[in-house]
Amino acid sequence: MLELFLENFTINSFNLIFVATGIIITGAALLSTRDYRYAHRKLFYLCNLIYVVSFTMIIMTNNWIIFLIGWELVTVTTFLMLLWGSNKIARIYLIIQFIGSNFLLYVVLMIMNAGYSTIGPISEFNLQILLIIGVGLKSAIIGLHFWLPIVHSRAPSPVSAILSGWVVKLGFIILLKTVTSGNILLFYAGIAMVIYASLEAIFETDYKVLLAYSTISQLGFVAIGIGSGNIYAYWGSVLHIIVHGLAKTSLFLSSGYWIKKTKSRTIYAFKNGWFVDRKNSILTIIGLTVLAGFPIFAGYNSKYLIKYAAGGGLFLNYVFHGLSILTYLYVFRFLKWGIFNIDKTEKEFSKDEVNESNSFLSISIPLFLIVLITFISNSLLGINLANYHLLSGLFKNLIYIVVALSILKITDWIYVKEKPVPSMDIFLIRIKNWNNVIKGKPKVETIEVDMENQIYNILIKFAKFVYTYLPKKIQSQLLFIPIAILLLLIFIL
Amino acid sequence: MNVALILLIVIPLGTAILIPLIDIFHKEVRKYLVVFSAFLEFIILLYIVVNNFSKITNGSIFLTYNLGGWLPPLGINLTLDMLSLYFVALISTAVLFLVIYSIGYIGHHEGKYYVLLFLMWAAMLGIILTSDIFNFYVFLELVLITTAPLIAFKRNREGTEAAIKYMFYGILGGVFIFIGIILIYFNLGTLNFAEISANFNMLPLNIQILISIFFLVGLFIKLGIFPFHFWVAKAQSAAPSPISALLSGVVEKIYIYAFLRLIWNVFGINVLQDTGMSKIIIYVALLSSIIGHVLALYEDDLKRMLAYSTIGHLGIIIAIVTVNTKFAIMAGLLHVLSHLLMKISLFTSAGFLLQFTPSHKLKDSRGVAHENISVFSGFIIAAAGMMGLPPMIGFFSKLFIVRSFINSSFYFGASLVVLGSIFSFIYYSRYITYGFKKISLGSPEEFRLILSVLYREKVVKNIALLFVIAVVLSGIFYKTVFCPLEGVYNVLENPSLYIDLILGG
Repeated sequence: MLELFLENFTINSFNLIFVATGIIITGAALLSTRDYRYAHRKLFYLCNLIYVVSFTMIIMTNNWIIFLIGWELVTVTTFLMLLWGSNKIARIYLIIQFIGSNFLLYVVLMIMNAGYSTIGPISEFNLQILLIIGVGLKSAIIGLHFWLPIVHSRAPSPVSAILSGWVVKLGFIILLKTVTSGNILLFYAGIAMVIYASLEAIFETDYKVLLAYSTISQLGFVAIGIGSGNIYAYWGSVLHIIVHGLAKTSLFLSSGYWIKKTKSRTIYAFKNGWFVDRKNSILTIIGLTVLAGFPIFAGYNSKYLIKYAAGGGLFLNYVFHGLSILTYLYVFRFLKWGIFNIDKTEKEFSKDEVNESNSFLSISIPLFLIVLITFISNSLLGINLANYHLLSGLFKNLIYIVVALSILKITDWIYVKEKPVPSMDIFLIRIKNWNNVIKGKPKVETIEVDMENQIYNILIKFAKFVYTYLPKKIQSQLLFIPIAILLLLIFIL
Repeated sequence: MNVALILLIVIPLGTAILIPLIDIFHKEVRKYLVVFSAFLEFIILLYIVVNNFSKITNGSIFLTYNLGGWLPPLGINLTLDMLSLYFVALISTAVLFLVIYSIGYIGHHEGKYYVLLFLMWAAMLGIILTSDIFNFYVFLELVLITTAPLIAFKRNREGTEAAIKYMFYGILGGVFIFIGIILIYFNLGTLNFAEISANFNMLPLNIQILISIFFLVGLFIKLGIFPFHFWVAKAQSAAPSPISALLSGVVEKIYIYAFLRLIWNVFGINVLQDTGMSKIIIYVALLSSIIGHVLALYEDDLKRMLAYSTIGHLGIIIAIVTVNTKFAIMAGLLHVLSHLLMKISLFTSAGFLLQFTPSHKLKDSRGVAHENISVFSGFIIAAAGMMGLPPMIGFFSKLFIVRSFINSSFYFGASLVVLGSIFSFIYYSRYITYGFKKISLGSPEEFRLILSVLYREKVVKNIALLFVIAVVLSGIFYKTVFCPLEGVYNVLENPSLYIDLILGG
């Protein structure tokens, strides 16, 4: 039994750190769930336990089949966790993930067929691309990310912490093991992810959607690091997976408490946050600072390493500065309209029966670990790559902040009207309108059926087509027999 | 000479004859007799397995029984090798539990029901054990004429119509097989599997092709492969649930056994491969599979949906087996087991759940999950196995099938399997979401209070859950199922060994 285990699982510091991070994230989320009303709480814990086992399988294994099993189990268990929120969102998540994991199964078997019997570096570019697309649906590579803001923002906050903090990282962990020498497409996809998602976050008014887009943009940094093939950037991605996982968990958990207190999800509702809830405000600010990569937090270390991906290219260097500024833009915009929007005339937050006995612990544990990682990041990775030039980093980041603040000042802190929470219907309306524009029909404002029904309708129409063109009378059905025999004979003889 | 082999057929046959006699004395004894002989059958199977355990692990088990003491070329003889043993084990175990399920489910005309069921069982085992092609045909037709009344067992218009259609198609399929047998007898002058196999290559090629086409068409009609699939949905939806489970899970597998035995061991797969016929079979089977899944999408009737899904899975099994690599055949055989377990558990739990709904329509199944959550979750688990989610056995068989398709660079087949599992995800999830919908008791047309009409509710529920547990457990310990299949593959790949063992032994 032990031999079988050792054959299929690799135990090294790299894997163990990832597993430990995942367990800490799940633990923090579970601690936070104690403040919410959950029916069947024991079942929820059981789901989490199976989820922990399955992501451990994904991370530790070197066997493709066990990886696939773990992948499917993660899909199923996260779907079950989402059921504690809204049924519809959970179903959408499961449909999309099931299609993705089926594609991944296909791809992995092709990789195995090409001779890679264990999980390790893959040299063929085509197989790398297929694998990236395969894990893309779960890890929200650009183009396949459309479901992420919808699901992550509608899920219960602890579950979105788990999803956004760790589940999306699993695909990148497998890419870390397979795409070791860089992939140019992944590199540019990463840059596109950062730019696109940051811009979306800048114009977003819903806090959880903002965080979800920020997840996509930070995943873009990881993709840049893996895609560049630079050894520094590669280790930067490893660090960024851990740091961003912890930071995003803490942010999503705190967002849950914000929403409970303000009874609203828009950032404008967090007015006077600084005065009303000092503790939560400070923790939120620290989390956002980590995301932005301000020095003395580990977020700086990982982004410092990832920026080696630019190599000597002057243009790419400037692009990377731009990416950092984009992150600062959405962070400061949120702080301005949310926590630091001081208005003494406004009423305070409702204080009635908001249970937050576990809030401080669950939000601050991940942040505390990030501070710890800042000082031990070299020994954590087991390599001595860089000394992170803290002073010049501080200087650079101050310039970023000045640029970001002046942009925000010029644009009046980018005030956007409250948007509806994103749903699949919006995509459908967009598609329908494109179709209508081509056909010369007027545009529509609302659409009655949801995404799921739309897919069903297309499939069922196709099925109906098949069904109606099959013969109904037994005489004509029986005609198939001589026809089949004749065809076979003609074909063969 | 091994008496256990003939006992395997004689016990169900004898029970079928005993039941009417027992009914004359005391009707309550009947159910004990039925379960007793089903268990006896199982014990004989265990006896065979335990006695030859070392040979089974080698894959070299071979038992014979000569009827009347006549030696093989002249007399009829029963043989049991790894292939037969695999199917005998599957069928005997499945039927044992379905018999117990029927005790709870069937509340009327039980005497007739069990007579037909046990005759069918005997005939199925006869098909598997015999090595005489005419005897094989007789048992094949016996299966047909015993299942037809069982399909019409509800005595309504729908059932009768379905049974007549089933009969019609079955007899047509049988006719083709019969013509094939006549052609063989005219050309070779023998009916023994081994002798046919030894001399089949000497025939002119066009006769070989003609014979195999007649057999293939006959078997495909009986299997319900597209374009001969029209009877499947009707028959499986009209029958009572245990019979639907038997038809979909067990009887169809008999024809797969016949396909394997005839094409590999008797005619030789080379005939198909040299003429390019195997490619045609693969494409026809894959087309049938995808059409089955598409039609299941369109269905709004639960049992018809399950029946169409059967067409989809049988197509996959036929296609993957015809690819004819070692891994492919083993994957196909594993899917035989997994489809058997999952379809039976789906039909048995559906049989339980349909007691609470006014009709078989999906829309009428609203709120059925709240009637009995344990059976409904069993249905969900089995359906998840059908979609191919771990740790159910369906995941592993799907994985191996896709893998062997890709290994033999048959990407079209692999993508169709994946597409089929996505389709099955959609149509099962449709039923499941209907099941979880809450019905408001306020509005008059929604109001309904249907009490279970089951004869013995607990038995039905527990057997349905037992099959679900089997689906999960066989998935977790899939290697213990998968590794012995290598022996089955060896039987299929070496027809000369089969010939030597029958004629030389």
